Amino acid sequence: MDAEDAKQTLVRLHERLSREVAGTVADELVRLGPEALKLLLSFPEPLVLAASRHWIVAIALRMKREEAIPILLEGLSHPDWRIFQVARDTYAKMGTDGRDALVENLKSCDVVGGRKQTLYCLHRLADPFGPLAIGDRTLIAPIAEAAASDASEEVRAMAVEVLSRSEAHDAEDTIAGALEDASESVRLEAAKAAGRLGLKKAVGALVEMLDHTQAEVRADVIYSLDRIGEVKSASAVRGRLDDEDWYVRWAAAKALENLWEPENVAALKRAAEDKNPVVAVAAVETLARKAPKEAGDTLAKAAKSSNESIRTTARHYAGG
Amino acid sequence: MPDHDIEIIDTHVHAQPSLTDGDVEPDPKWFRDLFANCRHRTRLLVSCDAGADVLMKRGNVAMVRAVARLVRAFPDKLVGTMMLNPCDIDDALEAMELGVKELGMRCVGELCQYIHNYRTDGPEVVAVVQKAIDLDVAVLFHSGADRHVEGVAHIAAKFPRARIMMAHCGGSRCWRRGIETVRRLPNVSLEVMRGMTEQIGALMDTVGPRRITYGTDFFLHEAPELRYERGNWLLDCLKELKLKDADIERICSGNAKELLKLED
Repeated sequence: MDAEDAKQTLVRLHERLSREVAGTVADELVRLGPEALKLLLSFPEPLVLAASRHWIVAIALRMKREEAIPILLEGLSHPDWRIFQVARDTYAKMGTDGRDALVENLKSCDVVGGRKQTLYCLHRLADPFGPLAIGDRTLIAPIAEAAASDASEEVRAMAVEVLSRSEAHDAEDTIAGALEDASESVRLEAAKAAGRLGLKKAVGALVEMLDHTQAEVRADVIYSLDRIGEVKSASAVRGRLDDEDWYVRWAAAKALENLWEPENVAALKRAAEDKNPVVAVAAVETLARKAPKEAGDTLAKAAKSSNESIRTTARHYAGG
Repeated sequence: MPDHDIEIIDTHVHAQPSLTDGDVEPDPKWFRDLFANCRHRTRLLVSCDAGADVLMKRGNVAMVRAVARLVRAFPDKLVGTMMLNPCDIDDALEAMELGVKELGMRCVGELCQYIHNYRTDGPEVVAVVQKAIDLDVAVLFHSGADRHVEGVAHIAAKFPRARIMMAHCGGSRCWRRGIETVRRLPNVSLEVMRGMTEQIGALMDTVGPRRITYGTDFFLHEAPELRYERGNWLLDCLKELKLKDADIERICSGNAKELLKLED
């Protein structure tokens, strides 16, 4: 029997399972307490079925918190997704009841995967626009501590991301610090986080990252500078209009709209001749939106382009 | 307004391979029965399936043709949209040209980054969105996670002339983040997937009735017992919210008609 056959068999059995029996078994497992929960979280295979996972979550929630929580924390460190997902889902249903244990686990768990799953749970509690809509601000400090000092670069990078996706403007110093982290993966995550939070103090470090060897990173950094909107970075971004990669040139042509200064005009007029039409359209559009009086000759030329995108864009902004 | 006077345009329907493979047209009785339980008039914006055995195997142009053939069989109920794999960008752009100019397609999408393995706002997508603007059609993005929402917002901000629909309101679990991320972007409409009263209420409060569409991810397949009942769910939800008739009309079909440039 392969995995899919086993799953289908489980589905068939589940469909035939009497609700009364399932309820009685659940009552008995709750009575037996934490050892029973530990046993349930020891065999991942049956938990491939969502209904089985939901059943265990319901059982865990009926147990005393102080008895269930240590076992669920162990579950977060389990390498199999079927186990750690049950633990995560239980924490989500607990809401803030599980908060203190999670904070402690973020510091004390010695398994990297366990700390990452703990961050996942804390994100749900910290994000005001997350699934639970709680927005617990007291969690920003412990997550920031993990971002700054966890031994694992994976955990530090994830903590940086969680902060930036939790509206953690009070952790700006941590994000700025992460831009100087020894690990490149943390620095790159911090670059994106700086953009999400509009972190002006990150501009200098971001400009230095514009020379990164990977085009995707250069484009991400440009987008972060674009989101931050500090005009002092315009010159560096203009320099990327000559990048070898067209997606980077496109990102630069678009970013200059938010990084507007008069020097952008000449650079965008040159970019309007870019060999890639998507870049040329971006340059024409940015110029037309920010400097309509100076865009006339560029629009007139673009309106006669052999490329349909360039032509229609020019005509749109020329009002024709 | 009585329910039977309301039209619901479901902007997110996939036809399963049984309906897009081969040359046999679906049974008209099956199709009629599909809508037997609807309390309302109905149109479905339909694309193909995105899976490995369909779009990735047969290619964009072939699947746009296949969906167009299905739509032609039921033109009063179906409207075509082009699910594309932009990783094959030349084929994708050719499919768009063909689909819009010759086969009457009204939209690009659902663009499924998680299936075809590209970034929501990656270079492949940039070229597709620019083409959609050129062809004056809307774009429907799959969105089921924070990073998807962020990518949709990036594209929408950089292409203010694009008409963008964000599927699943950003994600079944992360719809609040979805709303927050795109609420200042007037060219993004948010697709409500189920009749979720709380979600629609939040959308009414933040982006208003002009940016809400209804798209359910309904899988169309030729099973005799299959019934489209999701429009009824929406009507129940809108009644619970006690919305004005004009707002109900917008959410059910008015916004979709504007985005897709459809006539009554």
